[in-house]
Amino acid sequence: MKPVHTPAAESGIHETHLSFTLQHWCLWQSEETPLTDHWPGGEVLPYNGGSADVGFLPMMQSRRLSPLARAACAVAHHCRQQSGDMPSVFFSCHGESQYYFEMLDGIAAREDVSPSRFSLCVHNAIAGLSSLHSTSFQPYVSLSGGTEGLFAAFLEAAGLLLEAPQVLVVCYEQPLPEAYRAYLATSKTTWALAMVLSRAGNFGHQLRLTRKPGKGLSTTEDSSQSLVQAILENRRSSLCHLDRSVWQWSLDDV
Amino acid sequence: MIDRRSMKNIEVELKQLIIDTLELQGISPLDIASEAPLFDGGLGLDSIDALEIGLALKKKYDIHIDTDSTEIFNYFASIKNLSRFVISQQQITS
Repeated sequence: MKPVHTPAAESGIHETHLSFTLQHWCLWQSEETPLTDHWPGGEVLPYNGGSADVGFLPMMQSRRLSPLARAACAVAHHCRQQSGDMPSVFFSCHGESQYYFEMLDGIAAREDVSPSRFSLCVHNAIAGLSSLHSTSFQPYVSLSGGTEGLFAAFLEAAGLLLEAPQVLVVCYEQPLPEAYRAYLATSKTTWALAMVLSRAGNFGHQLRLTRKPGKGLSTTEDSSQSLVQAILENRRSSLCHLDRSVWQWSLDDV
Repeated sequence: MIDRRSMKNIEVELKQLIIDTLELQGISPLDIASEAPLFDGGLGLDSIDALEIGLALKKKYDIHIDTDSTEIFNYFASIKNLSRFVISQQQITS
């Protein structure tokens, strides 16, 4: 949906409002969670021994998938099965951090770099693999964190929805290698969340987001994972403090 | 002169090396025919796999592959060709 900017109380500072219809969602994470109550209109994929099931792929396509790629491709696949093909936004703050840290370690030890590891740890690799798996000819973008965290994916989706009736948003993270943890907020689990979004006002739950500029509270928690937790606990609204902004979101009935 | 036994041994060794390196789950050396093409049909490997096999050969046999060589496509055509190539390189260095 087209972003709407409204002046806030302070002169020259704008709020951004985004509204979508959440058509479907799919979530997987590497932790068994009691599924008592979660958001409506979607599914949590089975824990499957801590590795997302990609049995829908032939072995020659699944063999190279990292745990993170398996999770992202699985949730994307289930949403495409439900809603068909569409443009997509893939988002991850740190992507294949385990792979590229191992690779950097190897380079430091003067070892050769595995060509497949190298090709699969570039940031758009998972988006590309998912596109190949689903023989999609739709455009996709692959985003990294920036200052807006996973909310950057919703800004991008709002843009794509100006031209397409629905957009697939896929967000995914994994725990960072130990060496980075003193400097960056890390996810506690490997997880992936896919959401099919269409324009606001269509039939389905309405996802509304508001960005307010300002200095957020500094936190060591991964802001993306708090959304995952909200979905699993069926919490329908929350505030998320980032470095330069505060995002407020809510999921409302039709 | 390469005897038939050492050729057979190296073929099995290379099949296992390819299975392990390329993570070909559910495939055993018996499933790969020595004469079958590795690329273009056959096992269905791709160009990244070729680079990965090259790296594995370097690690295991200390063989350097000249990627500018026009013969390279022939070396990698099948397990049989790859075995001949490995043995010939080992004879050069021994």
